[in-house]
Amino acid sequence: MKRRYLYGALALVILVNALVLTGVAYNRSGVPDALVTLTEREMPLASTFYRRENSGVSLWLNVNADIEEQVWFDEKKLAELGFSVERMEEPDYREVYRVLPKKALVVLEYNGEAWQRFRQRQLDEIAALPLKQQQGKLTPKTAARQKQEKLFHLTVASRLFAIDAGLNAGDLRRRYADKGRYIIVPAQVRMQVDWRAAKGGNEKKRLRGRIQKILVERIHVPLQFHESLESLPGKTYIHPGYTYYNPKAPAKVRYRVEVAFGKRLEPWIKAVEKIDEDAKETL
Amino acid sequence: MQKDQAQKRADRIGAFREELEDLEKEEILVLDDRQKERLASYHRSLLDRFASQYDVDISGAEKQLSWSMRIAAFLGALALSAAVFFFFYRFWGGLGTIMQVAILVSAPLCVVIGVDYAARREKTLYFASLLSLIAFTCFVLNLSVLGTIFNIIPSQNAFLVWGAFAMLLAYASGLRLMLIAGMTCLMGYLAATIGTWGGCYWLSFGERPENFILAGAFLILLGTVPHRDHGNFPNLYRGYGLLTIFIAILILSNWGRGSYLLWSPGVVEASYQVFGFLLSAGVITLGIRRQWPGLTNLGSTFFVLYLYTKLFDWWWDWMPKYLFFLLIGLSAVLILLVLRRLRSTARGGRS
Repeated sequence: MKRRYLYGALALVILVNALVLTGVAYNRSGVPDALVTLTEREMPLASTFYRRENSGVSLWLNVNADIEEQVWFDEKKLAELGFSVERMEEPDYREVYRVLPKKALVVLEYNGEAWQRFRQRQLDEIAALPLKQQQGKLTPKTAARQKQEKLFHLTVASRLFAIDAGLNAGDLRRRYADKGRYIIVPAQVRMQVDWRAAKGGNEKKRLRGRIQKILVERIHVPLQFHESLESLPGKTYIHPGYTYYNPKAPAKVRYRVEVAFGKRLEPWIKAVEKIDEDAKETL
Repeated sequence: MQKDQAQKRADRIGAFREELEDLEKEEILVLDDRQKERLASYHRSLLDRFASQYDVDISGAEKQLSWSMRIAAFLGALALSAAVFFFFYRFWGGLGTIMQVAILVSAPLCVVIGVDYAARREKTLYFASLLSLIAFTCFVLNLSVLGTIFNIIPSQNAFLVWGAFAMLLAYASGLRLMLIAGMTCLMGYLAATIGTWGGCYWLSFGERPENFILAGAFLILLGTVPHRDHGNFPNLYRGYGLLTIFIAILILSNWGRGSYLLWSPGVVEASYQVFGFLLSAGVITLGIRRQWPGLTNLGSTFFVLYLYTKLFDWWWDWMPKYLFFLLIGLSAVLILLVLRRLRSTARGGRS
């Protein structure tokens, strides 16, 4: 047994842990890059398949993926992020998927213009339901059901939307200065064919970007906040992505979370608070 | 002298004794009593020294038991590592952050100290190897859970650190299992880093198998470094590096779209098929020349695998199945004939 190697292994463990913890301290030092108060709509509980085997609790950063709110992620933005779009003059989807993803910084807007547009579109669709019913496209029962569902989704859908992306955090922060509304997060983005552009037949296929993965999308909940998340009311709850509408016991927003994003854009939870059942969420 | 060398010498002594017995029976070589006594006494003293210093296996029964112990130690280490992993996940939610960090940091440190303690008490290093794997698991758990607790952006550097840790444990006690763990992590780090040179984000490194070809080549280079204390490590570096390259070529020869090369997928696949055949033939030749049986076997395996994959591509769809399998069988006979020819040429050269 060569003991000098074992001493090396011990030193490595200590050194690496010291570096990691120093990085954490640096991230959390000073004024956070963003400090936002979100609700269960934007941070639902992450369901763990092996919940019985894993006692840790985490929340999911739930970004609304409505396709209409991703028009900003076009060919020009892809080029800005370093993708060579000029090589794809007549994009073949197989060639486009060969292009590897890149890391980019994505701006998330909370409860802002993107949400207002989304909300208005839903309300317009609700308003159009009686006409569809008159035209015989929907039965009264289906129209009533669809109205209920859309109204329900306006109470549980995430109000967090990706609205821009870039490579420099400082530039993005200057453009989106409100730290209580705009969050900058690192993400993996990739190029894909915009199928909607090809639908018309004659229209030339275009390229668009897609946020493949937000690099830290599960946020750990420290022990001191577990109490606020225990014994939450209701059997149905909000899920990341799409929440199924249960007319007998519709899911409700049950807590709000204060989240900070530090110098390295890594988040941490600062507070979790239960929402009073009587308090109503504004649409 | 290392344990491996002592074991080889002990095996040679055993074989020599058996051969000497046969030679005496056939009256080809008969030693007188004085010579026999001197030889037996010399061998006895050597074997006693090896047994006390290195705990080598002297008899066949000892050897079989050693294998059983190795298998038991490996399975036990795997099970104990899984136990450590699941135990932590089962209870960590109920601990405060400071306690979580304290446990995560101290666990690998304590187990490494345990490795040292076990190695001092037992020459065979079965318990040391068992504890080494647990120490490695604790360190992997340490960094990955710290990443979860503090929501740290994932980085390929974790693979480098895990690889370095496993390598240090491997070189401390000559453990091949830890060397394989270390090479696997190092491979992940190298492939991811090479991927970032190509402009992609590191998490997508698996989308370009060529990243692994370069990483494998680096491991083969490590195998050229002389290892005075661990004579079997260069073989492992060469074998593992080549295995990685062969697998990457096998994937690329069937999935040209996964290549960095901007040619049409068909051309990429054909190029890698040719490259695969040339490389495996080259490895077989090198293995025969340098007398590295491991490399010869690896090269032969992949040569046959490439050949059968290609035959499957060409013929499976349009040929009756009986004819397809007949041709596969005939190709195996052809390979046997070629290898027999090579074998007799090698024998002729030796004589």
